[in-house]
Amino acid sequence: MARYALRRLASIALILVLVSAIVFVAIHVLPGNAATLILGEYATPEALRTLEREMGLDRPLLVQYASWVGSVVTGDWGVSLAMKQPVATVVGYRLRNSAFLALAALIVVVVVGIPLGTLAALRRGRPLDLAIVTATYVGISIPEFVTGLLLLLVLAGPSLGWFPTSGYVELASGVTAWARHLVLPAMTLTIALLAHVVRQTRSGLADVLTAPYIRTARLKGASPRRIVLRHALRNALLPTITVLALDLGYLMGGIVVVEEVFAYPGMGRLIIYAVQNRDVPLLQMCALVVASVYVLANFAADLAYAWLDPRIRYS
Amino acid sequence: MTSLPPALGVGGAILALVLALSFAAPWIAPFPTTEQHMLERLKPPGARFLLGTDQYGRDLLSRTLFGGRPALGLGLGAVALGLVLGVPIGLTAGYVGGRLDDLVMRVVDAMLAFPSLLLALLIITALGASTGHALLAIGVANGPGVARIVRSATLALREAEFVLAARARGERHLYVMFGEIFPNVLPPVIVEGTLRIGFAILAGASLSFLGLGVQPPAADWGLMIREARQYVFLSPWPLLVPGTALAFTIVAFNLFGDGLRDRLGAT
Amino acid sequence: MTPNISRRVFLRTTGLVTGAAAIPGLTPARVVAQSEKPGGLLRVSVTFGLSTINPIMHISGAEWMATKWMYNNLTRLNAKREPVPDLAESWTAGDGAKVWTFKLRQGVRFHHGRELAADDVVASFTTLLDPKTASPYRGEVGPVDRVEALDKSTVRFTMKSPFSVFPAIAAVPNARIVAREGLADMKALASREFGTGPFKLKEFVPGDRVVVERFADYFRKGEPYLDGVSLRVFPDPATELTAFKSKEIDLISGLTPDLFSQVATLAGAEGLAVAGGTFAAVTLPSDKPPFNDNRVREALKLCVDRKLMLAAIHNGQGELGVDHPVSSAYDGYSALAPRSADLERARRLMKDAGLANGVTVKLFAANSPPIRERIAVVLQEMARPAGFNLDVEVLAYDRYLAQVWNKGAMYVVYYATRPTADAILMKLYHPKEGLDEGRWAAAHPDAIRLLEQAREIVDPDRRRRHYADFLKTSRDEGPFMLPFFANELNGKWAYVRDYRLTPSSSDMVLDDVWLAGDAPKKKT
Repeated sequence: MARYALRRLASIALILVLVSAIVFVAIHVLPGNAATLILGEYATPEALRTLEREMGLDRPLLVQYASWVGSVVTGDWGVSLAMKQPVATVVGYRLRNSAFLALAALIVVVVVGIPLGTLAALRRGRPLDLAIVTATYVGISIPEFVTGLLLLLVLAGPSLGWFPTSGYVELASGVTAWARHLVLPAMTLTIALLAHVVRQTRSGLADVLTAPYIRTARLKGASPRRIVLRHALRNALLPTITVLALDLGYLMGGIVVVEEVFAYPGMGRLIIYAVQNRDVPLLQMCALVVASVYVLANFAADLAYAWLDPRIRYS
Repeated sequence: MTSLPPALGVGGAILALVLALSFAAPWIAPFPTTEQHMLERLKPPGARFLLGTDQYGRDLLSRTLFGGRPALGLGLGAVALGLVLGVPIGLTAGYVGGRLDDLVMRVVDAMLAFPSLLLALLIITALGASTGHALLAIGVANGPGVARIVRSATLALREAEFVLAARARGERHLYVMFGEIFPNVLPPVIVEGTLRIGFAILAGASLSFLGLGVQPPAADWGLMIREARQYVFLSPWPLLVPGTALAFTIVAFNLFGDGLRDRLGAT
Repeated sequence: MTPNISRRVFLRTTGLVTGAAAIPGLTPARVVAQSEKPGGLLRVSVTFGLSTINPIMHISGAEWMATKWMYNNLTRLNAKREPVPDLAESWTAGDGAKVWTFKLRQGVRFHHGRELAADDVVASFTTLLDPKTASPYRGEVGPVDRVEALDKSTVRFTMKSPFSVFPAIAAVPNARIVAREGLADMKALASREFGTGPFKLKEFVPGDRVVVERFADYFRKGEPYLDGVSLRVFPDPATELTAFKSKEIDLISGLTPDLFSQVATLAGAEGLAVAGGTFAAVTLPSDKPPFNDNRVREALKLCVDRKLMLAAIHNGQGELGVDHPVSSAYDGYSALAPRSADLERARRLMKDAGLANGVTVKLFAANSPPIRERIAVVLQEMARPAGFNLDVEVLAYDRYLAQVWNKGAMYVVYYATRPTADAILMKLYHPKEGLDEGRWAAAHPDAIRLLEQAREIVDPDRRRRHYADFLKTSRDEGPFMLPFFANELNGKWAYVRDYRLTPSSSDMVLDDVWLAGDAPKKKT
């Protein structure tokens, strides 16, 4: 098990190195560089040259990459070319915000999804089941930007105005304000993800409920509720966890759109900003952070899977 | 058994309707998509403009009818590209096995680890935002996933009797791969493809919404919603009309794909 | 659209401004009556920008606003766009406007305590003009040869050639006076400030917000009245407006015209509209076919129903243009006969030019700001009947910069209000001092000479007459189709008092703005 973990970590490291190299090359293929973007329509050839020299953009590519790797290894992620702020600070701030959003969405998805899926499984084939499955199905099919804009229109519009239309407020300024800014974007993400969890719980539970050991427990006199909670649910959670891990990847795509709709200052918009401004140090850290989160989440899901089901062993 | 019983039927029916309307757009659309009526901007549904107008006074009904074309083209094209890229790779990796399989799967995993949005962003910024480049980006992002699935299916079939028989007959590897294994791998591939179309359309619309896909002044559902956003509190119709069309289409594809999967018995 | 309200407000705002402008020199501090309470936080919003607060390097409206609050210039512009004293209390021209001498105010303090001296002015301008600094604004302050401190409070600027509008140029956002200690480290200046302005920096989050607080030792005694100001970036106008309606914002800078009427008709709120100089125009590259033939240029210009375009794209909030960039907000303005659409004549001209069967041209537009794309889309439709088949391509801004901008194609340009007519005209037309984006200067050297001469005329009326000739040439033969100038639009709640909207809205003076008692007591 430990050997498996180590090997996985090694390949994760390799993947991250690859990601950083690809991003570096790709961004240098794009027309223009950070200096062009900073000067914009005020650029003159001399101003451009001077700025490029100052930013080190006139050095050969390999040298620039090596220099970046060198400083990263010592923990220095550099300064954002477009924002003139330390990359680590900017990314940290945005990452934290996106994490809040993602976590809020995932928590709601689990808290709402698993009971819904359980309910659907217990009332299989009946109207409630149909209703739940249909609703979540539609939720996953409608693009997040449509759901988000609809929520914006109805709940944050001039008529109801229950929630702010955009942005983010620090926790320090008040928990209610902070929470209010999270609700609509989190709701949008939740609606998109609910179907996965509901489905998995429902089908996993449905399979398990017909298993022999459940019948044994029933014959022994255990109440149906106890059966569900004690035995069935634990096994049904296995695929749910894998789905959540897969959701993380899906989440990252969805999060960009949601952040755009609600102007939520998170990683998604930061990545777009970094690419549009050819901000190499910023983009590199963003790409690595996002790739790490994705890859580590999958890894964690595999480990959790193994922990929950003693029958699974990795070699 | 996770989908609704009539999924195939319902999904298929909606799909047929969407495809028919998109195809017939040039004949049934009441206005040209670029015709502007400056004095009738952002109007709600009425006698002249059945579903209202957008910010330039263009007819929403006509634009929505035509707006399905880039959306569908993007979705179908991207998945087709993903299949074209992923199937040969998956087949080869699964069939040949060993070091090649390891290496290819390493690369595929790395690509899967690469945030697909970032990939799309880089491709599109490098080449320029357009429908074609969005198609390329989504297709390339789909490739690794398809490769994976095809590889698993190939691995399962590698030792099957008809394969061993073909090899014993002396058939070339290429024939075995594409002549024997591929037809048997087809059902899950078809199901996978159909399931992915819905998400490809969603991805394409998302890219257009972000300004990275179809460009103005074209009529496209994702782009229309992007343009509608600014005016959403002035008039909800530029959002609602293409939004509904988009949602119905994606639901239809997903339903159809799910129904197909159940029918063909694959997972 | 509620034209009555905007006109009323317009008159009211300009009325206030002419009153104050009548008093040159130090404006005496207002007497704060019992009913007026100083203090409070003014919350302003924008929808773009704010990546740096380095006053030497910044180039976006939101950033200019922020440094306007934290710094001063030698001069500032009044409502008639004339230079009035700021840090300089007087100035004189010498040697036919080749030398400008400024006398500084006494007793001005920087936020970190030290008193302002001529050396700070010299250091600020030297840094701005230094090629090593690579400031985007280096070429925008005129032909300055050298800057010297004659004594502790006198600065002399020597120009390479006569430059009569320098005092107005000294008011540009990138000519802020920075304490010389702050100029040593350009990187630090991106997030710290060394100014003399009415407010000090409190918090700055790039791309999101900047918060400033009152500087008690401001040289305009008694001002500012506000405790602080916060400037927040919103992603788009709709969300910004909703925040305004729920009083999360007090003042919307850069209000879009579609939403202007919503603010103007909101009880307790006011929409402010002022004629500005901001425009989007289409370049007609005059060095190659088809636009090297003036008949074709004229034909395109005749296709445009400007009133309709203004109505559709900017909700009527603007001033019609006649294909030159000097609006009524500029010092060098002259009123010329308006242009109206004449498709018949356009078609005839096309026929004369040999293009009776029409012509296909690619028209590029960056996707930001949105007005560019809208002009392109509307022009495409309007020009079609005359035989122009405009193939519109919308590009992301970064791509536009790299591949289209200033490369001689047909594209949509966008310029915000500049401080002087000289600045915008030189930028658009001069091949050396500016970009000559229309590639027109080579064939019209006489017109360019008109511009160069105007710079040397010290008398503003004579200068204006000189420009009038150029403007006529630009209208009749120039390489730009310029349909209208966008009004500067702001929205505010009535409890924000004594706020004046200028033709360049990023030139936001808050020294004497205050909040009435019914303003919400908010912390952020």
